[in-house]
Amino acid sequence: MRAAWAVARKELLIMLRYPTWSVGLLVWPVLFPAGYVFFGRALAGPAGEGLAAFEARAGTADYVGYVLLGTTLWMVLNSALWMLGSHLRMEQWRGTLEANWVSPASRFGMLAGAGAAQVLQSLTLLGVTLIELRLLYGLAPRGSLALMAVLLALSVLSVVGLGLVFASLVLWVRETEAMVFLVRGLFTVFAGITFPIDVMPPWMQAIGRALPLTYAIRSLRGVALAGWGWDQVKVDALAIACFGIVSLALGIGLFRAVERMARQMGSLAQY
Amino acid sequence: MRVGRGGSVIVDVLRVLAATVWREWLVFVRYPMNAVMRLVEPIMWLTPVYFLGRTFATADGRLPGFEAVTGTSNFLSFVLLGSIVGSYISAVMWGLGFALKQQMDEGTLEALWLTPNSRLWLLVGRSLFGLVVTGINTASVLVLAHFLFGFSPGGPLGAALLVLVPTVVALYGFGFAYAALVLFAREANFLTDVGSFLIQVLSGVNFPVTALPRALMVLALALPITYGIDLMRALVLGTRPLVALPVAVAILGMAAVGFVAVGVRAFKAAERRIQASGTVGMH
Repeated sequence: MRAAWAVARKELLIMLRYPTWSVGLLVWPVLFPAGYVFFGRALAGPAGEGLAAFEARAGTADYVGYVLLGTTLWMVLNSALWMLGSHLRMEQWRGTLEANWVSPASRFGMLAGAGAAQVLQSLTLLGVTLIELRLLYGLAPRGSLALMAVLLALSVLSVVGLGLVFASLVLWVRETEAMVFLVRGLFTVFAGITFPIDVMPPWMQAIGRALPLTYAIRSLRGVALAGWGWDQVKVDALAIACFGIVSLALGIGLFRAVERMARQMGSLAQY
Repeated sequence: MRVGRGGSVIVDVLRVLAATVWREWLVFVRYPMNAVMRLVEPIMWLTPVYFLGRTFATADGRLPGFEAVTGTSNFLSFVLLGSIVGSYISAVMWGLGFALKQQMDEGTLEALWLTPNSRLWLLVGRSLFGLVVTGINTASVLVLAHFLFGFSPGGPLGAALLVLVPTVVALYGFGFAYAALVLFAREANFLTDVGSFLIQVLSGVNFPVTALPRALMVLALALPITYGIDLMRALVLGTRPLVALPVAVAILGMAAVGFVAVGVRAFKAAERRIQASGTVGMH
């Protein structure tokens, strides 16, 4: 616990030390969905000519909210992949990974600390994003806020689990940027961040159904835009929870494996 | 610039350009994964746009709303034509401004600037390489989009490429001024990331700028790139242009000359200033 707390505190201190992060926190939630929202506005037409087709496929005519919720969850995932995913790699770059790992502190505790810091960052990003979207795009959820909070919490856990898997993979492959582009590309293409996955060809839908983000986006949209209740989202919530547990377990397992491999090969200080 | 062994300034300039392009090429091929990602990434970003467009399509494939705004249902070609300019916006911002900061961080900028070569031509050499690579990249993306999404321009692509010339020249002029800003600010990552994205949103890379709220549309209409993208779409797809064709051509021509003149002056001023302050090695 002491190791986890120390790493979480250090990560948060580093984050606060570089204030451009806070500017990004304010700018990106508004800027990133803008292109999709304005494209949607053009597709809808000046008198809403295109809305009937959209509503028939998406289940709502609120294309702005539909896009905003998808891009918000995508941004949380993107942030986790960059920050938590590159955590071990950054330690390697700074030359502190080897020194930390030869100390008698728990290595898993250190990784858990980075995960806890990421949970806090993701929740901050989510909070700021939802406030900004409400103020600037007029996003007004129709369903239960408590249910949305539960779904978001489960989604964040699932995203952090993926981040842990990713952190170990990056340490192994030693190529952060290409790995982030590859993995986030998978979610960008298949998770339906701006559209219902039913409009994709069947083989793409099958890949989409294997991604936790797909369920998180679908259930959140259902609650926020169509007023769905627990009965309608419980299957998706269960799927997100299962993804979260599996990815956390996989992250821990991979971390142990990479740790063993690095010790055997003596590659901890190589990059 | 000093006169080379042959006594010709032109020979010296060509030598600097060739050396810069060769170095950029070596760096490019040294990271094959990055080269592949440059090809895959535009397709990746295109997918949410493509399927969002299909969500609004009627059973017969028409887009009544989009057609009412733009005059065409061919949204894929509409977006792809914009993304050609979008890829040059990224190339200019990341390839000129951000790359200069990277050289500062690596410590090679100071050494390079100590050589008896024009700093401006070193930057032009880098721009030339960026132009060629982005051109090849764009062509590959269009071919990939043809096979993956059934892209077909529907009109004369040659006319659009003619419009692309002054648009890209204006962009590189802006890139020189942006490089000057990076030299001063010594911060490029956030500036480049947000700046590049913002210009792409405002100039309507993925949508008609008439879909923007009024306040943002004013900003969009102040950008010459907006007219370049709009003109390309009008020529190829027959969309309703923002301004008459001769007006758009005049705006682009003036922007190409004006942006290059201002960009070169800004870069030279920044160069003089940081030479005097001795901050080229600081980052």
